[in-house]
Amino acid sequence: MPTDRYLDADIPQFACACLKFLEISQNLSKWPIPTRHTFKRAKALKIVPLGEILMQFALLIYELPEAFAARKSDGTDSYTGAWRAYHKALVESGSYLAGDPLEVPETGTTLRLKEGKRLVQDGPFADTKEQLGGFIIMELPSLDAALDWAARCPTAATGAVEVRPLAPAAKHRIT
Amino acid sequence: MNGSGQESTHRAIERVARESYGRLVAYLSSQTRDVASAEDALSNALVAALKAWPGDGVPQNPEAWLLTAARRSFIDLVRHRRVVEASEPTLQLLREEREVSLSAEFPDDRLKLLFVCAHPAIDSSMHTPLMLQTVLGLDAARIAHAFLVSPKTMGQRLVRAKTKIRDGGIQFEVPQERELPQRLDAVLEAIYAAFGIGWDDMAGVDQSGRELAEEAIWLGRVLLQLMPSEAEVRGLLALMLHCEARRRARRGPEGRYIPLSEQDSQQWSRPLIEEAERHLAEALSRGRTGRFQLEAAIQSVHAERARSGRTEWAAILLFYEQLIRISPTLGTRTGHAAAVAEARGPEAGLAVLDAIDLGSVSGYQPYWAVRAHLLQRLGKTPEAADAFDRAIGLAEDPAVREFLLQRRG
Repeated sequence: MPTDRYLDADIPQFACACLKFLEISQNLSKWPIPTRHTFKRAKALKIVPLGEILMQFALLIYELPEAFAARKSDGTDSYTGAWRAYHKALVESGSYLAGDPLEVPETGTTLRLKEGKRLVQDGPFADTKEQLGGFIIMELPSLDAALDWAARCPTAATGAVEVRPLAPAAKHRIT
Repeated sequence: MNGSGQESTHRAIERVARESYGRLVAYLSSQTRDVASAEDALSNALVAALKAWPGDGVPQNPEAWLLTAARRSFIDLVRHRRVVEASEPTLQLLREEREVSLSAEFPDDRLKLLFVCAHPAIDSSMHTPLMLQTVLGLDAARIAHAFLVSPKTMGQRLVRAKTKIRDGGIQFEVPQERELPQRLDAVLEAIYAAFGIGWDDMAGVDQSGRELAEEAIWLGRVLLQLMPSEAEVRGLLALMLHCEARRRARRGPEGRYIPLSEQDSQQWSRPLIEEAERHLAEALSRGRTGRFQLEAAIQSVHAERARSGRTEWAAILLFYEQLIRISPTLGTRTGHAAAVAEARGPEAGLAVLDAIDLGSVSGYQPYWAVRAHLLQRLGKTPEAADAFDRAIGLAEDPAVREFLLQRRG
């Protein structure tokens, strides 16, 4: 599109916006003030009333080999920077209970007992490209809120984040 | 029939489905309030079309064909489900109607359907998903991705909402004058939410966000066609078109995020800006102003930069001051602070941010981004770094995260 045509365009935009301003301010005073609060995902802004039932969720962070390798960097890379900021946001949210990264998958050792025999295997339980690299435990009002936090996790863009509720009932059976 | 003929039949079905879906669902469900059965009946009709049309050719009036097939299927569905006696009058009605208006034009009930979707009895978080599904025919899984919930959960929520429409006595009608402003506001809000989600999720790689924004504009156009004299309907459309006009300029090479102030305004779409301006002018001439017209006016001032090369922040500030009076949302207040900072300096902007209750902003990313920016301009480096971290940690879009990380330094 040629620039000069744009410059000559008879778009009434700015005039329209400004000239009508007086009219607007006069009209507005006649309008009732709506109190509805809106935001694209209302749940993200929801303030949890006291006494609302909170659930605990685990955010399981699955990382690609490259992400594990990046841990050896000097810490100035953007992935590490993003994680640093995410961790800060988690802690300041007041919903964070615990969390830790896990050592690289190759350091895992997997044990099974089969027909009384011990089977010890080097490496992680599952042989997949994405491996469990860490976890976060949060206390939140809903799965929706947990998914919001999962979406903000830097690893969501490169690996995957699984959200799973903790199972207090199952724990209760054994305690 | 050869392959290309088959393909063109498929395209014809797709086109009819796209253009008629909402009208057919609206018409079928407005008499029965049974949106779910109407949708099922219509999808059966579409399957039947896929079978019949390649052999028989596309009928003269494909919409009427679909309506006939859907109605037949609807009667079967309702009969099969043996839903209480209340459905007997429904069946009677459908049988009678069948004889009358098979080929004739049927009324456009989409407006009623839009009002039903945004009815106060329906959970407000479901207004947009319901519209996307019933009026546009989007499937639950796609809606679920956009709203960041699992597909199963979204499916269940949609079913629940439709059951409520059927059993909860929600009327298919355009609200009375007295309650119209508030009810219309909910409809506009839901359409804008679809646009906002599509806008935010447009991360470059994924096309679904972009499509959702386009669907929202489509909905806005449908609504305008149905309510041409409502100023706010035009205001909303103008707002969405102004934003849409900048889509290309929002991303640099490799999907890099470019903030509005740094966008090359010559990349903005002139036809879209012109269309937006026409709607805004028309809206303002009607003399009833509201939130969406004000937001569109703010975007209109930004668009002016393409001609003048500068941004008239004083004008933007004036509009924000009006906007805050009628819509004091967190988003508006954050935008207001940014405008104050541009017009009167970062300290003044920061003071506006400080006046917002800290408890309400802990999860609101734009607040922290603006705060970080202003603190940085004031040379308060440690405080700025802290705010940047909050903004980065709350960001969902990797490109935005990268941008903020670089700014943070």
